[in-house]
Amino acid sequence: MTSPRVSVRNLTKIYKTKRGSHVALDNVSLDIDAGEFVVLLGPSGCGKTTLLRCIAGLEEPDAGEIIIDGKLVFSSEKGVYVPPERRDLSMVFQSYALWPHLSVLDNVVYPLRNTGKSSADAAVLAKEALAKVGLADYSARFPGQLSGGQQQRVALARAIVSGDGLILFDEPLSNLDAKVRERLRLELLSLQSQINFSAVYVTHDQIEALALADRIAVMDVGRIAQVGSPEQIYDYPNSRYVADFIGSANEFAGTVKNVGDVLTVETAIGELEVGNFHSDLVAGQPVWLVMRPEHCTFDGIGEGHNRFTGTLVRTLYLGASRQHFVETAAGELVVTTQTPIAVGEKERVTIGCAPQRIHAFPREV
Amino acid sequence: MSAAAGASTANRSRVSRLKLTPFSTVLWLLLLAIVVLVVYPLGIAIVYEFENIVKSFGEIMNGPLSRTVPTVLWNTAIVVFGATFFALLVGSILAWVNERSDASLGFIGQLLPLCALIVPPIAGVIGWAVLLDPRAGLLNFPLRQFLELFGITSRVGPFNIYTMTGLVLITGLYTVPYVFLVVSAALQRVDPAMEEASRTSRAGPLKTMMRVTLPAIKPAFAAAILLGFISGVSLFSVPAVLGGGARIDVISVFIFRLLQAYPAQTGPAITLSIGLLVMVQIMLLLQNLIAQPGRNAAISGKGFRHTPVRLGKLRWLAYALAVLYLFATSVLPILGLLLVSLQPFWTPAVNFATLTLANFNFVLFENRQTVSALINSLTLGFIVASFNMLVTGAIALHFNRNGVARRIADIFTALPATIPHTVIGVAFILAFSREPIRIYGTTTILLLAYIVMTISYAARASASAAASIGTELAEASRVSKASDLRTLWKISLPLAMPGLVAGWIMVFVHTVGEVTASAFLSGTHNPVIGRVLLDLWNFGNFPQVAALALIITAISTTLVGIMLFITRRGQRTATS
Repeated sequence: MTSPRVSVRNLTKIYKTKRGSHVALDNVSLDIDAGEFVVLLGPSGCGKTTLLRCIAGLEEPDAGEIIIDGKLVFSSEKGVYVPPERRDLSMVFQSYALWPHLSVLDNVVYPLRNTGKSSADAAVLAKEALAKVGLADYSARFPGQLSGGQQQRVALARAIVSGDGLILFDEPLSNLDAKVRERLRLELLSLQSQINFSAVYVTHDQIEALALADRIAVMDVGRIAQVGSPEQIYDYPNSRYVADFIGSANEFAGTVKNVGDVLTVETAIGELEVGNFHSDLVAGQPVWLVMRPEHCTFDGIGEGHNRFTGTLVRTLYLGASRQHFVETAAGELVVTTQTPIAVGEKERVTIGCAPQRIHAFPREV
Repeated sequence: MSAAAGASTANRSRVSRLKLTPFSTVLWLLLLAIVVLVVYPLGIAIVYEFENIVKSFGEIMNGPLSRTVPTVLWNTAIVVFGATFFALLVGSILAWVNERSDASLGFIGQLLPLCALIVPPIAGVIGWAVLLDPRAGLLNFPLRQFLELFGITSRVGPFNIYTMTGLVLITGLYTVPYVFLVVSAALQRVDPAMEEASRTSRAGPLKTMMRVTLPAIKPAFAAAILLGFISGVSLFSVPAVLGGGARIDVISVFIFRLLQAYPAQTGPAITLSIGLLVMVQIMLLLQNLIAQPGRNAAISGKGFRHTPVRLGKLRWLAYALAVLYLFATSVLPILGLLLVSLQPFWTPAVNFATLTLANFNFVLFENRQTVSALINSLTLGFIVASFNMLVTGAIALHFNRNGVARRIADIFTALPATIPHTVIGVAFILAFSREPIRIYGTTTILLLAYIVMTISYAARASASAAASIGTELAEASRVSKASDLRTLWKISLPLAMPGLVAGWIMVFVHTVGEVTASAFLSGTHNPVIGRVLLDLWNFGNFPQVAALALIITAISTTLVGIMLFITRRGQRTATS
């Protein structure tokens, strides 16, 4: 296997504020392979943007190492700090960050001119890049004359033009309308398969993360909580935090009764069998049980599935799906269905859930 | 290998935030020089005049000055309080009308805060003096003729500008923009949802204003009042022109007279200056306390849309007030100046057959004093504006992402603004008329004084120009492989240019129209416009005064027009 494009080793970044210090990155390590699309996902303040900016060279970490294409660009121990202009990468910003005093073409030409390309060569390459994002006819315009989606395409052209093969994205789509966002998401993917760049992509939008990523790194206050493919993250979260952050999740407390092939857990709604659990768990241990609303059903409950009852409180119609709020002895529970159900509000319902769809995580008491 | 190359990079680029590069060293040295320019003269003046200062306490307490100084202080208090009250009333009504009512003033609202730039106060006050002089006033004369129709005859009046009322009103006129700006800014930050919540809670527009809007901007009122006080006690041009005829001395002019007397009474002058300085510092401290951010829950984001309060017929009253204000600060004084400048002699009965451009010809080409004053002032304005914008612009752009350095630079450049021009004038005279730096009577002393007096304007303009460029634009340039300096040159500087040019114009206009330090520091060997205007006025060369005042007004108006054009265009490209 080839060495990773970007290698982040034990990175720590501490912000000092008037109210004390805030650890933005806490000993973070991550590798990004050639041609890989890695998404940093997490709520605001989790350190994902800080990590991205450290890779870019816009922030200076307090400890750790960053290696890009085998070249050490930051090391606290060796006192190495390579400024952003010499890291051979490009970046797409949330605010597009197009320079309003330059034309679209000049915006895209700019990185090439900085590396000493002649203006004729640069213009040819820039036009190619603009054609790739579908803006061939817009080179004479100014950024102020373009729509948000077009502006972000220009920024994309600016990022791919120098051909570094490593592009950092800082929430690039979050300023755009839903429709444009979906459109650009697709274009971004086809562009990536075309020129095969490595991408580090920061977002707080889990749908976007699932749609784009080869691998997702879910971040939690300065640490990486879990790294894995979208399917791994969604179906096999390794913590209550990850389960909760990706998609929505029903949670309730219980106590382990028996550990075997499946876990038997005593809860307020009765005994449940749990298929996903860490082998550390022992009998008598308090746990959180987590299950996704779309994995719960009202009818067609299979053989060997858990069954428990509750009262339907309310049903929200969401167009493509329906969200049902059920009051149970363990608290409120959400069940999502594609089709209408025969039960009315205030009536008793039975809910089913397969053991392998339920996850157990240790609970602090 | 690559590590070694990287290590040398680290040393050169910056690991610690305040690390000096040649470029930033020069900037820090320049900043230091400016601080020295403020502190050194004050310190030297106090050290050398120490005995005189001590002696002057006796003179002020029970010596020859014990009768005049209390009167001067009392006069100052009346002028400052009166003018501030007037400005608060007019300024906040106009601000509220502009921000909250359906009588939005549009272009006039934009011009309002610029009035003191468009027509320099010295030109405005001379304009009003020629309009309302009790005998020869160009407005008084037709009014008397009109009154004669009703059998009321008089050789003077009906109005007299050389009175306390005149002093208060004209000073107030030039304090209005401060109040207007402060109150408008506060109103813009009040979330209209708060007012809408009040309206939907069954409170009428008046009750909403009294119970919600006004309390929300109370700190702004306090800040505006203090700003009015500070600008009032420091204002020199209005009392210098009107005070003589009215025989009313306020503190700034009184200090000037103390130094002009023979022998110069330096002791009392510096003592009173220090008193003035201390007073202003206390007020600034108070203002900072009041304006502390986060005190008010009302203040949230920006860019709200609000439903304007319908004024109905009152709208015309609002428009009338705004137009009247513009007339009072600009149109009427300019007309007065124009009529006087075109006459061979100032007479209230204008004979249109004898109107002539001779005064302009004389002032612009023949009179050696005015010609060299014009050349000096314009040259000084050019140098001062260029120097200050270059220094503050470089600082603002270079330190844009470096919070610590920026804050230190901010403190340095804001320092001179806290010192009244009168005090700067006195300190410069006393410090620079003796060894080791004997430059009194040269153009250099004026240059230094102007640099000190306008650096804060320049710094503010540069800071807002730099702040208007999103940090991501510079970062995008860095990741696009442009070095720090190349980013400054190719991205930051062009983007900040409109703001920097606007700042340049502001500093230039301020310098050319400056009167206070000019009165103290300029003489026959280094004449500048401010000083020559006062001299010509005191000697009674009224048509020439008017012509010269009009010339600087024309220069100011033209430049402010260009500034408005540039900034508006700048806004368009930035927001679209």
